[in-house]
Amino acid sequence: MTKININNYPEYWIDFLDGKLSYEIEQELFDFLEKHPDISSELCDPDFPPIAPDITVSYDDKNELKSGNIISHLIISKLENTLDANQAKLLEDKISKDKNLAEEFDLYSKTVIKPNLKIKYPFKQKLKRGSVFVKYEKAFYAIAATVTIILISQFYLSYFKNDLRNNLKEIQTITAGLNSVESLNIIENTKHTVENKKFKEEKNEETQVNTSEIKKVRDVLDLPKHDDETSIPEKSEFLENLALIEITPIENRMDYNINKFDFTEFENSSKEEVLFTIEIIKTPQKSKIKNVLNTVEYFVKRIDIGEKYRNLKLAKENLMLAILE
Amino acid sequence: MCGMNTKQYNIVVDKFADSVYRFILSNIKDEFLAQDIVQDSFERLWLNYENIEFDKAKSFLFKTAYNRMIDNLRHNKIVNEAGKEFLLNTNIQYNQNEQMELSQILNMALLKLNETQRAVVLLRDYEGYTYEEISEITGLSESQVKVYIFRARQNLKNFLVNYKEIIR
Repeated sequence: MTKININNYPEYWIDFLDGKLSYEIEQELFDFLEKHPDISSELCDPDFPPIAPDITVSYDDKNELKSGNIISHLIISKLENTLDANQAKLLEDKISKDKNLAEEFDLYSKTVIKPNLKIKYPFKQKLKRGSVFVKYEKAFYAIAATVTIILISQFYLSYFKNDLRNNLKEIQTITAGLNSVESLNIIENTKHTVENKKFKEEKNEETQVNTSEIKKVRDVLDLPKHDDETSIPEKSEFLENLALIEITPIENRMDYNINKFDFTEFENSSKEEVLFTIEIIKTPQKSKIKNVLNTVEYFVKRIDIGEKYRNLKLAKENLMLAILE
Repeated sequence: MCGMNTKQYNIVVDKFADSVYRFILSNIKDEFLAQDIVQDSFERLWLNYENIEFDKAKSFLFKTAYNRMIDNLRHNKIVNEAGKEFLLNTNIQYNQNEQMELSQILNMALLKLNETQRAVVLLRDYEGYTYEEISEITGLSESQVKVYIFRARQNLKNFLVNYKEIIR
C-alpha cells in the first residue's frame, strides 16, 4: 500500500535527505516522484524546502547577550552553581586578571541574602496540635502538681501517724539536678528546712539532719568532678549536672522506686534545652543509684522539656510549700 | 501515599515555623500580617496533614504561605506602604549614623524588587530551594524562575553599587 501521497511527500523527502528512510520506502518515494515529474523538479530546486523566515520573530534581549551582560549572566550562574567546572574555571581566570570584573563579582556575591536567624516565630507552641498533653500542657501540669501535693501530703501524714521513725535506718536522699543552680538551691534549702521542721515537730529534735555529712555523689559514683563546686554552668549538660548530685544522710527512710513509666508523660516534649529536675528518694545501694541515674539520663537524652521546666519548677515549689505548711 | 501523624506535624512546626515566618516577614515587612499568614498556613497544613507526606510538608507550607502572601499583596498593596515606611526609617537611621550594614542595604534593595523577584530570590537564598522547587511553590516555570532570579540579582547588585564605598 502506498504511503506517500501529494500531501505528505515533503516529509518523506526530508527524511530521505537525512538518510532516515528504509530501502523499501525509498523505492516507494522514487516511484512516487516518477509519477509526479512536477514535484520531482520542485524538489531538485536548490531553494527547497521553500520555507521563508518569519522576520517578525526577533530576539528581544539582544542587549543581554552583549559583553557586559553576558558577564553578569556568567557571574550569577557561578553564584547559583549552575556553571560547569570548565566554565567556572574560565570565569575565575578572567576575574583574577581583570580588576573591574573582580569588583563586579564581589558586588554580585554580596547579593546573596542571608536569613536573620534571630527572627523567630513567636507563637510556635500555639501551632502545635494533637495529644491532650501537648494542647493543654499548662492545665496538665497544674493538675499533676495538685495530685502530687495531695499524694505526698497523704504519705507524710500516714508516715508520722504510724510512728515508723524508730524502725528506720539511715537513708540517703539523692537530688538529681539537671538544670541551673537556682533550682538546686530551691531543692536543697527547702529540703533541709522541711527536714528540720519535721523532726522538731516530732519532739526534742532527736533526729537532727546532719548536713555536715553531705557527700558529693560523684565520690560514690566516680562521676566527673566539676571545676568549681560552687558555680553551676549557665546552660549545663545533664552529665555535668550529675556532678552536683548530693547524698544527704538523714534518719528516716522513704523508699521510692522509680521506673521508666514515670517519664512516659513527657515523651512528646520537644527538644531544645534540657531543663528538668527530679528529686529521687532512694535507698543508698550504689547499683540502685546508678540505675536511677541511667534511667534519668536515658530519658533526658530523648526528650526536651523546654518551656515546661517552668511548670515543673512551679510544681516542685508548690510541693515544698505544701510540705512546709 | 502516607500522610503525617500528629507527632510529625508538631515536628514540622518546630522545624519550619521560623523559616516560613522569616520568609514572609522579609517579603512584606509586616509582623502581624506575617504571623497571620504563618498561622493560616499551619492551619491549612493541620487540616490536610493526614494526606501530606512528612517530606512534602515544608514545600506545602511555603507554597501556601506564598500564595496567601501574594493574595494579600495584590489586594492590599501592603508592600508599598510598608516598604516606603521601612525605607524611610532605614534612611533616617542611615542619615543619623552615617553607617549601614550590608544586611540593611540589602533589605532596602529587596523592597525595590517586584514581589515575584523578591519571593524567588528569598526562597533561593533563605531556604536554598532548587529552581524546580521554587517553580512548584510559586507556580512559575523553571525558566521563569531562572529569569526572575537573574533579574533580582542584577537589580540588587545595581542597588549595591550606590553603596559600594560603605559596604567595601
